[in-house]
Amino acid sequence: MTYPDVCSDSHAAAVDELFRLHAARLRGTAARITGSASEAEDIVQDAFMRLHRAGEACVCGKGTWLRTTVIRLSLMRLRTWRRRRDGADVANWMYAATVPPADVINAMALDRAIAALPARLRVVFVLHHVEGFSHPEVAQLLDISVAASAKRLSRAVQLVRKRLEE
Amino acid sequence: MTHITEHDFLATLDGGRLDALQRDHVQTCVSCKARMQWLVALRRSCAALPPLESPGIHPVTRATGRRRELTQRTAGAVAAVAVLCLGAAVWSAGRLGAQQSDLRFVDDVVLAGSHARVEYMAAPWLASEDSLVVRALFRTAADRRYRASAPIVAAGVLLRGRSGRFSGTLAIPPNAVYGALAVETADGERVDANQARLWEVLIGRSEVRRAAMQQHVNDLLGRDWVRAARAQRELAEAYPVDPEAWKDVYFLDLEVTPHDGIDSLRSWHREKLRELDHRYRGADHITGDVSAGLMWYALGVQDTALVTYWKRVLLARFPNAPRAVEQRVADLPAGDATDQLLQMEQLWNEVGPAHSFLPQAAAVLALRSGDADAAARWLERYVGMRPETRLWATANLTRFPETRARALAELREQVGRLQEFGDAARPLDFSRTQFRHESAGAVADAVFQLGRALLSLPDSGEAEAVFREAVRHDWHTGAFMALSRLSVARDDPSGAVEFLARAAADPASGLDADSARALLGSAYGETAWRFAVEQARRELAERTLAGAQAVPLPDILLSDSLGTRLRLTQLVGGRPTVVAFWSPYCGPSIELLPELEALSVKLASAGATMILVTTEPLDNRVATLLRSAGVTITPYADASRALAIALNQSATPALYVVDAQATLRFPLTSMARIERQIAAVAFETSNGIR
Repeated sequence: MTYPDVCSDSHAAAVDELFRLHAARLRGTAARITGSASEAEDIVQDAFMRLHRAGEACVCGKGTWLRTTVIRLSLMRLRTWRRRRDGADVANWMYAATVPPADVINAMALDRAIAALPARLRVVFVLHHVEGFSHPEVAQLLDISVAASAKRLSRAVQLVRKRLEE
Repeated sequence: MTHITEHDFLATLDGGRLDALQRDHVQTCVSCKARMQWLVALRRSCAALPPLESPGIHPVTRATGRRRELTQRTAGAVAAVAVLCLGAAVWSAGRLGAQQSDLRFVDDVVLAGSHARVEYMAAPWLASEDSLVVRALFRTAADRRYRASAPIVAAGVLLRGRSGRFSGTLAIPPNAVYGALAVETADGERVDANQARLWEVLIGRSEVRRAAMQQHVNDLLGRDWVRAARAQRELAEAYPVDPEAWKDVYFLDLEVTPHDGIDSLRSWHREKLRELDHRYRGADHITGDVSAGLMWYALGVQDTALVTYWKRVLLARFPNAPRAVEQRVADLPAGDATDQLLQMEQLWNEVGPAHSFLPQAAAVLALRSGDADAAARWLERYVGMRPETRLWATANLTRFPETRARALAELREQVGRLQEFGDAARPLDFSRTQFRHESAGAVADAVFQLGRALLSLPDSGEAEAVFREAVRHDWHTGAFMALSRLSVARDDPSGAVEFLARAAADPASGLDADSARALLGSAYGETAWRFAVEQARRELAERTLAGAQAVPLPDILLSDSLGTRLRLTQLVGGRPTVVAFWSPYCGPSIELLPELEALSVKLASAGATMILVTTEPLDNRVATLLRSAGVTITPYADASRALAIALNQSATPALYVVDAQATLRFPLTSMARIERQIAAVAFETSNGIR
């Protein structure tokens, strides 16, 4: 997944362009980690507000910065909220792009299966499988060992498979 | 040897390797091979999960205290942005604000016949009001597809609280299962329709959920195909043994699937059909709906053996079910119209109003064979089942001397009712002014139909008066042509020139000086004709522009197939412009391409231009598709959807008219009107009106 960057004359216009480019994708990232579309909206807005406040003249390279920020904010939100908000209402989600008829797995069913995972497994699954981070990167983000990341992933994959086959 | 663990397989996806023994095992073990393939597919599907829209549907969510606090905090920040951003970027503030507008139900479950409490975070253009109106379209379990029947009502009033948040209660009708909502000012001039998506609510508990989900799909049809297909799939997944639901999934998927995906789509559905067939074949407890669903599903995926089987079951076991009646009408042996009408009469006596195809087919047959009596009888039955066809039915009855007088009286009454611009017919996302302009065309057309019906009377005076009324409502080229013919007939050359010039002023009429002379005879001079057409063009421009808007658009970047990014103003280049949104995944869009190509040639010769935009990536497939449709217009990609958002575009094809300054003048226009609108905008530019 690549995040193209934008360079423009005025900071506000550039942030605006970045918002147009990335908001939907970032919302997907945040929603899949936290399991909630409304949380995701808040997180994405929050990340953009931070960028606005930074006020730098050039936002080059900020696409990646935004993605990292959104992931960190989502993980933070999840830590404080985990107990209260487990299980997501995926039925409320609305995809921003046409869903290509996936050759194998229906996107909505897959999102439902991911949302049903326990948070500690879901985070690893989303970061690795959906966001494309390697195990060492996941391990660093979550402050766990590489082996633990791999182990949680295989457990998560088993559960997703079971859920999809139900 | 033992099977390979998931853990080992997953490691290979990250560049790990299986050892020699394991590799040999995978080569021979079917289950391990299948699992490996599944894991690869899972990885691919995960990487392709789509981005998300800002949350819009809130079927049953509770507004928690935490949520309130967060929204307020973000709203505050957005206000700060509005101060920071200047020029083009003010748009972003408006848009960020627009995304913040949010209507939600306070209670978890919204029940039919109750008063439901709602809260509304206002869009910026509504925030300063003290009270707002929620308009709603409620659907009952019996409502049909599309938006033909359900009226739109004012469901409740919202009052502004101290925090700036609006709240109020909505009256939910006793038999409603689904509602679509929009918020507007009391005068109906400023509307927040959640960026054309509306707010939607499924009403009632699980026992009516099937009906509610079906009505959600019915409402989205023609409004948003992509979301309709998605909603239908959700429905089918919730009721997985319902063949009717899966059949609809297939037909809707066809609407939104790219060409190269159709084969795999069909084979997936063939598999599904087999599964359902297996379940129901030989079962005692099936219903007419099940066998009809299976028959149509089989027809769709082209499985002739199953079509034959389920058609037999349907006709043998449920001969009076609606879908069986439809088949029986279709299967009537061809022959003499009187014979067929007799058989249809017998069928009607046997089954009554089971399926509207019976009265429809019979009415058409009776009209074609000139049987006034039968036509009147069948049309009445048809209108009884499909009230929205009343205008068409009545217009047809004016063709017979026996029924003419009554039909004309009724037609006049119906046209009169159309002209009331009833609020119940105004779409949720239209302001009153916008609706008045939109419906003027429809009214003019209905009045024109009445005029045509009146032409059959011996005295043409009444028809003429009616045609004159039609063109008072809207520019109607057909009515102008008819008026000029009537003028010729009563030997009024100046009237004939005047009306014909108006018809010729419409670029879509294709009338030029030569064809006009052919119609009028050689008595009219070239200069007089040119002067009359010039006058008519001015009138056309003025009348068309009365319904125009002037919404400045941000100078958005679009990219061509090589990735070169161009600004909207560069593409417009100081010319009146048609912005045509299309999608390579959308059947109607692709069908429209040849017409768009023809239009773009006409536009070029008139000093205007067209921008063909898609929000999909411009890959080779798109290039091939355009080439095969004979399209030479350069396509542009709006990958970020910035232009789509600015234009509030949600479905394709969608046409917009933009003027030389890249200001939006006519949103969501139609092929029928677009040439007049472009001509009007061009007239305005060349005469420096704006």
